[in-house]
Amino acid sequence: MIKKTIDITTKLDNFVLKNRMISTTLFAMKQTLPLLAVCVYARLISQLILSPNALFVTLFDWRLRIPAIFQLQEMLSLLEVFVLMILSATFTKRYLSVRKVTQTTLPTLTNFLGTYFLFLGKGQTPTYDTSQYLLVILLSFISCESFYFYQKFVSGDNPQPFAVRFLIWAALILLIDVALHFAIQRSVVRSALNTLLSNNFFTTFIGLVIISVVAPLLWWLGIGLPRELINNPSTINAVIKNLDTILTNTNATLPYPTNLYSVYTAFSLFGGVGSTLAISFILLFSIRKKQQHLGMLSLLPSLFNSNQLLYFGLPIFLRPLMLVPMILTSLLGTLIGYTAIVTHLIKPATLSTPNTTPSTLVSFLGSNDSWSLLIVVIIFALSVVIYRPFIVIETSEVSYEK
Amino acid sequence: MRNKVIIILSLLLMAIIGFFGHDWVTHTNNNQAKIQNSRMAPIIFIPGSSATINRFDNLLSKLNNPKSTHSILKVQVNTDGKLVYSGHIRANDEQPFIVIGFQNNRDGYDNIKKQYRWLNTAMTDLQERYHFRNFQAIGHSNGGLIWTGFLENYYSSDNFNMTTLMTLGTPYNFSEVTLARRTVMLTDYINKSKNLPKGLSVYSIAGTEDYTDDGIVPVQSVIAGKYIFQKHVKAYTQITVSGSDAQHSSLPENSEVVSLIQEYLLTKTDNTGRPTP
Repeated sequence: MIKKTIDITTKLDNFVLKNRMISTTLFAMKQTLPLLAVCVYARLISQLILSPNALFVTLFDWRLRIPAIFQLQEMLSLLEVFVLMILSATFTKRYLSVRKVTQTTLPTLTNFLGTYFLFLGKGQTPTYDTSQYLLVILLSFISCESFYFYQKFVSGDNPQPFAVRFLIWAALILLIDVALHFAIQRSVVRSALNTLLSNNFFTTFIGLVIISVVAPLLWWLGIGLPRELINNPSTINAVIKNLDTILTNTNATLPYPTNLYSVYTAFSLFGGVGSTLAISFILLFSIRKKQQHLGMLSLLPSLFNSNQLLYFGLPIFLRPLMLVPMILTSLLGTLIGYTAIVTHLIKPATLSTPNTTPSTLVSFLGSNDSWSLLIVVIIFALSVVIYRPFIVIETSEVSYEK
Repeated sequence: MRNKVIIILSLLLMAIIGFFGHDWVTHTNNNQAKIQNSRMAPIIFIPGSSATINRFDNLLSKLNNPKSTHSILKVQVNTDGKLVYSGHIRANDEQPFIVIGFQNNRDGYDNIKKQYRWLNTAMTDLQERYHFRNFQAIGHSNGGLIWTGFLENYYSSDNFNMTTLMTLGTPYNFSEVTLARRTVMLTDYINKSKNLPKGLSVYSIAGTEDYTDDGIVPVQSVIAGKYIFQKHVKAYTQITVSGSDAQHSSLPENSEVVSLIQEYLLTKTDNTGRPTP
């Protein structure tokens, strides 16, 4: 049964990798990896040491006076967008080359700038999640295809790369990006999602199971997740009510013992969405040097719940081979965590923990119950067992690189 | 070997964060529990510019007359952010008086900005010491501006619950006699008024000596507070007091003002000093 699942997934993966758009995307992601690594580590340093509510600043009550901290954070946000701009430009250049288009400078520049307009307005920093990879790739893809057909349609003999007819095309693409900028910036979707996740349905078994499956699926698809599903969901009603109850009376019965924080964050987010900490761990023991390096590079951010390096480096985006174990481990964490809480084997996490607390420690710190650590170890060990066969196949087959 | 080192270092890092994180969580949540369950709701006073922490002594004596039921604590915030405490809060006093003053008590918008930053330092320290969440506030003259600046820039409803603010002769538009000319400070305060707590009741008291001002602050400048508070807080009430004691510096001792504080801010107590239901 397990072997059959792995075989089917591998076949599906190979089929997907033959797709021109996906193989180009994965190529572009690998090309962008060094810049992303700089970005991820810069953000990690900010979250651990530099920002006013950084983890170590909070834990050790450091009173650091970092000069121009807001400018630094602004630059960090710009760097995040710059990663997407490079991703889009690399994708465009590669995709058009595959499509045998020789004049790639203008479309590459257009998509590079278009991504900037998509995420940043004048004098703005992105206040929302920049992990909208699907959107970036789809827009770049549509732009490439339109350019491919447009240049076939309009080009005469030996056209100039910056001829007016091509500039008109570039202006249209940039206009679309600017229009979309205002569409995706609307906070309606975010507040609607927050309201939805605050619904008591997500304190029930079915609700939590749905979240543990849907969250890795959306993330795998490259759709930016609401912050409640990536970090501490401390703004969720059930979490606030639990905290109020426990602060008023330590021995009181909790209104919502199982919720996004006590189950999903505490047991299904080890290393980020899809419990990918296990992947970094497995890669350390890979026979390939490149994979070992990726394991080492991604381990530290993974400990603090950031798995973007694996997303680009492995890669994970749209790969069926990665989706199956991601959903399985996420679901497994939720199932074990939920069972342990409802059977009173462990206390649920209710207390507030500092920002950027590793999710492997959330259950222990949030509940003050050492038995939670045992559950964490069991879930992590099982995650390694689930991921291992898939990673072994992944590290032995890198067909999209051919 | 290399992998072993990496794994051991990772575990060590987790152990350090786990150890110190446990301390932080315990300390923070104990503190939060005390704050949550605290019955203390002090009235916190801030004097105007050039005044010291002793500015309200006469007012506090009147409020504590005939029986001293409210203990008095005074805090001075020095320019380096250091706090100097005098007086004490009696155990079980549910409504102590706290006066916060500043070493740099000079006038001017730049100084007011510094003063509300120092006020935040004092409030954080007071909460850490006395574990209260609910409080009421009184600001005389620029003291009202400092409270408003604090509310708009530092106050968080996660940490505090300010129920009432009473400002006495507060010049929201400095010395401008017409509402048509708005100072930079008033414009800033109006622009940030959405940050004001929604459940706050504000009483703005103006004094009139000669129908136009209280000797120092134009009535129109006090009235300009409506542009900041109206529609952004639960209730905004403008009250004008007149007569011989309505002069700007006499406002805190004005018998009408004392009555207003007793009516709107003080908890009614029985003969034993306990709050009546």
